[in-house]
Amino acid sequence: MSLARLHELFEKRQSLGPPDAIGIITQAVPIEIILAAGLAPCRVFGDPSQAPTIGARYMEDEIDGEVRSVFDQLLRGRYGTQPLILLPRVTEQHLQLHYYIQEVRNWEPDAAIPPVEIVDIMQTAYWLTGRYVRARMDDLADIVGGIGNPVTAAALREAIATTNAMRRALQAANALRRDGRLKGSDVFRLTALFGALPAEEFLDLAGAVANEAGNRVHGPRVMLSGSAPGDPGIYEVIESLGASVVVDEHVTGERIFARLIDEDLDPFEAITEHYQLYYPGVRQFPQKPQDDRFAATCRDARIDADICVLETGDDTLGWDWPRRRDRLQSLGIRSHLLAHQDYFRPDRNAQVAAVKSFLAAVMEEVQ
Amino acid sequence: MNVVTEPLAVTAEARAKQKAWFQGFRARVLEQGEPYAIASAVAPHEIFHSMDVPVVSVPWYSAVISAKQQSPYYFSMMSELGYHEGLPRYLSLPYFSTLDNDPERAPYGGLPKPALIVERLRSDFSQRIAENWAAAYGSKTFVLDSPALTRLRPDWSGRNQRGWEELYEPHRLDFQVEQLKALIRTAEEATGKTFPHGRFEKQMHDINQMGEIIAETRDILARTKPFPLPLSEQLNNVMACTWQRGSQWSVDHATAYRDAIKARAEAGEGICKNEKHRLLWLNNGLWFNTAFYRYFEESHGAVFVWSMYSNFLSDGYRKYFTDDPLRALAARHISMNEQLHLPPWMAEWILKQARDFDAAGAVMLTPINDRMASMGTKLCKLALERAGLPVLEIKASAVDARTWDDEANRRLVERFIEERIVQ
Repeated sequence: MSLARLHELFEKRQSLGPPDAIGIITQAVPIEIILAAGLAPCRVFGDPSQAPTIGARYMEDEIDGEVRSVFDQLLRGRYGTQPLILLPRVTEQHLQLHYYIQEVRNWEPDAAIPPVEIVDIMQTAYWLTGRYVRARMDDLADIVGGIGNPVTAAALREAIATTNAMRRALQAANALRRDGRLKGSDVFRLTALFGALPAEEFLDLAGAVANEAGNRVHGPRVMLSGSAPGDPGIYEVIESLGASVVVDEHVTGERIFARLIDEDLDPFEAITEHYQLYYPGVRQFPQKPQDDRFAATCRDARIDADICVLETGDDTLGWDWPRRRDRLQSLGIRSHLLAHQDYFRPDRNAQVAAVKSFLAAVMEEVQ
Repeated sequence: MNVVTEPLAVTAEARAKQKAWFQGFRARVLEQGEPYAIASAVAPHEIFHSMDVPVVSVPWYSAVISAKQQSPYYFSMMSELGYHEGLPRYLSLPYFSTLDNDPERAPYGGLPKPALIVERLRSDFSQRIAENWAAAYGSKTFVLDSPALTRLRPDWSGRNQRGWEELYEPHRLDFQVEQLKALIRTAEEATGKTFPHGRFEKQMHDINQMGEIIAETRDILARTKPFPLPLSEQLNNVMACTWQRGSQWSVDHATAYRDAIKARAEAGEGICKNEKHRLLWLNNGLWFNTAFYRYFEESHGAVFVWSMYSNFLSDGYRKYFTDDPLRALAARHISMNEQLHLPPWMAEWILKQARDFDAAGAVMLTPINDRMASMGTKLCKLALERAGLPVLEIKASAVDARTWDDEANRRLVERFIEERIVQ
């Protein structure tokens, strides 16, 4: 029952938020500030089921599918009632989206595009960057506080406790996935709903999903890495072949909830540290600690194989793959690259064939 | 009119300077053990120039590799190592020349181990190349993070040389200045040399002076008919000044370049016997085939007169200041990508050039496998067309000769001239 409810909520994820909620593009927006202002967040998702129409006139096909989709939906007025959309600078593509939205208002003056603010969270691991990000957190609190209530330290502390409770619920679900008792695709769905559902409803759902966990599934244990998928399709391809996705390493996977926000710090400093240093992002620098964490996760999760799926147009994560492939090889783990995968129309048959062949080779080695 | 076929003497001098500079640099590094830095185009080379530390520009060395037809070899190597075909190529060529470690193949013997690799994070991938590259050498990396503009205010080229605080936004400049201070300290530790503030301040003034000379040159080029200089020669001269900026040579060379063009203009010397149409070349240069720019002169009387390299050194680099050269340096690099590649800044600057050069159309190279350079092209093209400037878009790699179909692209431009330029 609860898994059916999870699937149902995921399917209608684009329309879960109330019309006056603050839109957030990705979960890299500190929703704690929105909650502390007494407002509700609503997730602005990319939609892989619909290729861009109006947006395609203005935005190049080389840009990430999720960004193109969000741009197109904004132009089509999907989020026209939101008082504000927050756009975090998690990738260069998202920064470009910010500039394109500014410009396209001149070309499509009748489009119901709500106000959009960039949230400039940079992720180089330096003190100086942290001070810059802290100032942006203060700016964001002023902006959001101007719509709702002023953001106080006490309210922010309470909001952090609320989101940490959701992170703990996701950690519990993830432990069941590691144990082979929850599907990777379902934990992906649940993770996507973090920030899309009110906290109480999310916690109820997560608890019910955990309670419904089944018996351990035996089969190859796979890590899914690479580009962030727009839907669980690639998980289901892997699962349909008898394997389990026990880890998802991409930026909308388990790293989103792997670490709690420190509740002992000043709350503004705590969210600064969290989103600058620990929120998963392709601009995290340096890479070496990320590679070390990646290898440790592979070892701890006892994976048999890594499948790295990269979207068409990828210009970034492909630089990591050969290095990580070699590192995994030293651990006796094989990695397979599926590059040039379309965000909107992936060739599922080709994916099945490639994954099937790879898993067969992996199992032959394991046995 | 007199048709000139020989390149300007200053063009040969620019090429010779770059070659001699590179040989001198290798001697200083390999024979005398001096430290040097590798830096991206949008990194503050001025810091190293002031410290008399040689700095190799990544796109310059990429262009050299490409011009020497070595890119296919390195791209094949890239594939063999497992880097997928869609990854950006322009800035990765020098990294692969390092991995290859073959001084016989690499132009001018290749790049020795640097003291520092400096990258500004305008993209998501450049930090990865820099980190991988530094690991291959066993060198240090320094990255400058890249804060977002909250608004792209109109008319950047009219507001970016004086009173640029509002355009670039004070909170970003504050951050960039602090990053520059950190870079200076890192560079001092990595090279054992001290950053000389007085010399740096003078260089900043000298670069402004050089920018004024380039602006004057650009004005002569724009108004002179027949057009006196091939685009490829503009690139040779201006880019040599860009990479050598801050040096006395760059000011002297810019002066000689201006004077040579002025002399040609006054003598009525042009490069095309029957000039009828002027075209702009938009986006990246076609480094492995600069002859392409001249294919259409004899057949159609069409001359490429401008590309962004013609005068970004004057319009983009100049930053006048009263008391804080470091803040002026911060302003120089902080929004280069937005100025050259993003709407609305890209189109508004190009339209100004089109008007001044009396251009009838533009050919836009939209690079494949380099999406940073392809961003903004749709909105730019729409804006130019709406303003009455026809645009032909060619999608191709700017550096990978393997993917370039010379005949097909030649026909595309010919058809464009015949159907959209000739009225």
